[in-house]
Amino acid sequence: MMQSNAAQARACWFALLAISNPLSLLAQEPFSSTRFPESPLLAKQRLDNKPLENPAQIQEPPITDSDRDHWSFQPIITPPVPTTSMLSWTDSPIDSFVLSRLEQAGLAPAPEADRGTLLRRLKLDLLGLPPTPNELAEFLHDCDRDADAYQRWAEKWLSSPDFGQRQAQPWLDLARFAETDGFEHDRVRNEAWRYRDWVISAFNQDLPYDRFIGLQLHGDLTGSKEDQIATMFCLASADMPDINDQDLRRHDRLNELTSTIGAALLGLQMHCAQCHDHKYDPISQGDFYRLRGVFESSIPELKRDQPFNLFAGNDNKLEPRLYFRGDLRSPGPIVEAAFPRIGIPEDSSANCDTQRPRESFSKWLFAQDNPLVARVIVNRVWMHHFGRGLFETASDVGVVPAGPTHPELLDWLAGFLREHQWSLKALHREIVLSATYRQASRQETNDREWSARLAKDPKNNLYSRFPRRRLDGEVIRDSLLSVAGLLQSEAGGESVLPPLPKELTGTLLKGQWPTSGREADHYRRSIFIFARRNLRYPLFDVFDRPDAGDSCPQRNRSTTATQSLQMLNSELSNRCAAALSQRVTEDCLEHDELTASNWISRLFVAALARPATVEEVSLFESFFANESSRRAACLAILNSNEFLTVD
Amino acid sequence: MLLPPSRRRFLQYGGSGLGGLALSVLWQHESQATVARTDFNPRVKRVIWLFMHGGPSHVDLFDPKPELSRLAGQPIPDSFGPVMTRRKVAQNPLLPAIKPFRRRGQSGLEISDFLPEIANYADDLCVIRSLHGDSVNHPQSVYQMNTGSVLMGRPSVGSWVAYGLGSENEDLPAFVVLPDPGGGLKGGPPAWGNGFLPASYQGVTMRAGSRPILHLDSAAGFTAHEQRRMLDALQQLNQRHLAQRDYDDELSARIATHELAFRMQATAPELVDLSQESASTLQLYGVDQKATNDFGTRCLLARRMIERGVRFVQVHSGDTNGWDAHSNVADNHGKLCAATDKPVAGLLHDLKQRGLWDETLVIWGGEFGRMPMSEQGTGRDHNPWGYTVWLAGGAVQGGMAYGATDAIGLRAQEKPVHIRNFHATLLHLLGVDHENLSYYHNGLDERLTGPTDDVEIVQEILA
Repeated sequence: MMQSNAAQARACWFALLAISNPLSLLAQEPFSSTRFPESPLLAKQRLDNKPLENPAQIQEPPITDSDRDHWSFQPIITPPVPTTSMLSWTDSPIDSFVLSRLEQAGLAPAPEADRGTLLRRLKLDLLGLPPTPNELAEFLHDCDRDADAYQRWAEKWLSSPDFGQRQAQPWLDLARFAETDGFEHDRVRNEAWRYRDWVISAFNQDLPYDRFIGLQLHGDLTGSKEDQIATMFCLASADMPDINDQDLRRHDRLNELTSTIGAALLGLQMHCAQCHDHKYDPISQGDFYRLRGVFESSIPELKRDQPFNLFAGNDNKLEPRLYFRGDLRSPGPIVEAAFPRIGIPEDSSANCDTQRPRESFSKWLFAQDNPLVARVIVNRVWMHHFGRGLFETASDVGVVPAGPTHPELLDWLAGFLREHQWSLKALHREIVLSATYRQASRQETNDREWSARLAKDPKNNLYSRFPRRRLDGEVIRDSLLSVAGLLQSEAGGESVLPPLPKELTGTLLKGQWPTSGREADHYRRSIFIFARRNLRYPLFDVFDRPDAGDSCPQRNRSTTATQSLQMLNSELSNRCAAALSQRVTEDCLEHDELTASNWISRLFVAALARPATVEEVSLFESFFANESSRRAACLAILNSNEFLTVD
Repeated sequence: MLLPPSRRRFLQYGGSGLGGLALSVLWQHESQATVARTDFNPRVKRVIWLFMHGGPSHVDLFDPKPELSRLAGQPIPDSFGPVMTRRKVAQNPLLPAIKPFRRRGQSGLEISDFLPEIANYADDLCVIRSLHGDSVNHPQSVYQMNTGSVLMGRPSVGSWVAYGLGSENEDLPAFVVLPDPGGGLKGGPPAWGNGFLPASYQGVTMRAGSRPILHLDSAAGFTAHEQRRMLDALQQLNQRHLAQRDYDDELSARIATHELAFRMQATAPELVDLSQESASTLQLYGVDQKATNDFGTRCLLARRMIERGVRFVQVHSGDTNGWDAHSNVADNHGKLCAATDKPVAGLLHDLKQRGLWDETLVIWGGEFGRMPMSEQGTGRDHNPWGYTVWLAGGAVQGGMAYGATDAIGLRAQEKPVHIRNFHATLLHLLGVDHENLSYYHNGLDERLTGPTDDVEIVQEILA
């Protein structure tokens, strides 16, 4: 099957070549800008640093009507909310869009998840933490008295400072954020944590998305030091400050940031076009280098061993140009900063102000007729809550991947975000309050249509139930610490370094993982753990945290034996199991009798936000006998699929 | 769940459900995806890569240059043109080979006196003298040799092989790294990372001794009996949970990985337990000698691993500086050759006597070679423009020198082999077409060898 896949790719490539420009014939090279052996001739050209012979003009395929016909490049026109027969279910227009598709398929939505499940889902999604026994009790109590209890709890958690501490991580994944340079020396970027805190605070304050992006693109121009920190988004990639050829360093960084901005903000895989016109999408090499031109004046000539991780005005006079094959040694024609042509509607006069290119770019991103930015971000927010996007390739709205399962819903959400002045919290709220989100993920006792849902919607493309998913590594650690009562609430500031086995620190240069001196710091939230590019914290590493090598729109979700080994045997999980055991015991002593069934029941409530069943009590009864067994029982619960997934 | 298109098709047609699970147990649950084999027979089933970190000097070990002796002490002739170097050595006097070369074996392949033991196997070595890469810097070159790209964060060769071929032993990882206890590579763990491939394909570091894998023992000191009792309760809990959730595949997989993890607590120590090896075997690898004990032990572990079905083992030689002989080649290479020569020779011998030779590929080489010019008198700077890597095993020609550098060993000149061609050849030997081993990532079907289509298999070296 791979062969047919590759063959298909080749066929498309040749088809495109036939209509593409002659330059692209040269352009089939990998991204390394140093791909040739250092022959004397090339070495000389490099040292002379002169443009090679080149045509005066870039020839590139024009944007055609059929290019514009692709769903993502169409203007966003907020669609009418469909009418459905089951009116009682449509709490949000989201539900009408989902229900209308379900009804077409002859399906009814799943009933609402039980209250405990719903509470756990809501808190894990919004805050990245499991509910405490007190919260569970209060919530159940509230639900009995107040029809709007769920809504009030959602509101409360949307306003919690923990909200930003959970929501920041996916953004940091996109920003390929780490606090070190990578490569050999992997030096610390002293102020990188300030960017992390800036992102957390932006989400907590609900900084409108247009402002959020604007500051990350040109915060250095406001005159505020804090705003300048935001520009680390553009420059958070790996960097090699000691590289011999500093021009190459600058070239690589510019190309990388252009690629990341294309993918993260526009959903365009611009990076494919740094060496040649994109093989499938209407993105030419010219588009790539014109977009790079927006940033060209913001990166000065770099100095060896000097970090450059924040913008500081535009003072560079280097002219933007195209580079054949992406190779610094093959400079091509001069270009002018501009936006990718496919993002500009035919009747638009959008133009980059080359005096203020970054501001002009960020203004264009949020122009009413930009079809990409709103679709891309609402899909990311949707993906956060449902585990997958309305289109799955969240940083690629090009022609190859499958398009959205619910295009009208996607556009409705995009319109919603604009109407709400780009408030991401408004969008989170709308989603978590929807009936779609509140569905059960498994068969409830009174649900007779479950098997029909599995049969007619096997992959849950129609959202006929809530999609279960495994938690991220960071959330797993925070959950462990939280149920154990060890989690420290202190937020922000310099990152902390919990102890690591010497086998791991031994793979680093000396002194690269200085364990934090204060033990309490070892139990701070995962978002505050030092993000070293050359060594991911081991629990995050095995649970698919990306390596900050490039912008990551969505993590893999693997299931491996090394995960089990860590969860069963590590110092962290055993420490948490012991603390949980003690906590449950104290809890029993305080509130009722210390008996096996009380202890087990309280353990289940503490870790899984539900009481144990009779069978479960008898399954763990014999573990109550002594402290060591009780710890083992706690460890078992912390390793259970129920603990590690959200239902 | 975000899956590459190929994986999606696999699930669609290969079937999911419990039946499908057996295919993917369990080191690589995510996607034993592509079935990348092409229609030719794989010559090699497993690889041992002896990675000489820091950059061993080809002109002092495997690539004799009489012209270098003739020009000793003089600056590099103008005819060689300007050369990019890491340090300012371009105008430094040329430094002849530190030790004499001799013709060895039937083939007459020339090998330096630095490596008398390996020299006994000259007729088994396939020495590529014309390898070349793109960067004068360690980390970029470490990355390029190990991932195909000078940039950070691409999947390593071992992870590509794990992804494409999986492990032959479902209780062991497909890709194991045996790091040097003295320190890590310049560039760090990303050199054996999974990049954008699922985490299950990254190199698993293993060590000699009682704790070969991280987290193999209970930090709480639970005995195997206590663990079993705990696991039994956990699995009963998980089974109930599973039954209420339509026997979800991902949940089933985790139930199985817990069992695998438990089994590994027994199998992994056995894997690194050398007590069953005979005294003569230990001697063969130099385990009995102080100078060769460490590298010998790791070479022997590599053999034990491939015997048990590990697909790809990388053994690192050299601490953080390793073979990086900037100031004194004689001293640096003297020590490292003394530490590795006998173990490497022992490994070659052992593979042959155990019938593992034909289906195993041994690779020896660093991230680059070294310059013909001197540095600080008797040292040498990095040279990625032309250097040596050798291969051994039944699938490649023995006693062969392939390609050549120029007269002084500065640049690959005859039959140059770019790293990407080397990688493509390596995959070819494993029965994998480098063009077909791909993974959909950020808009591209990514490949180890990159999107370029000018990659060539080095046909002449194939046996």
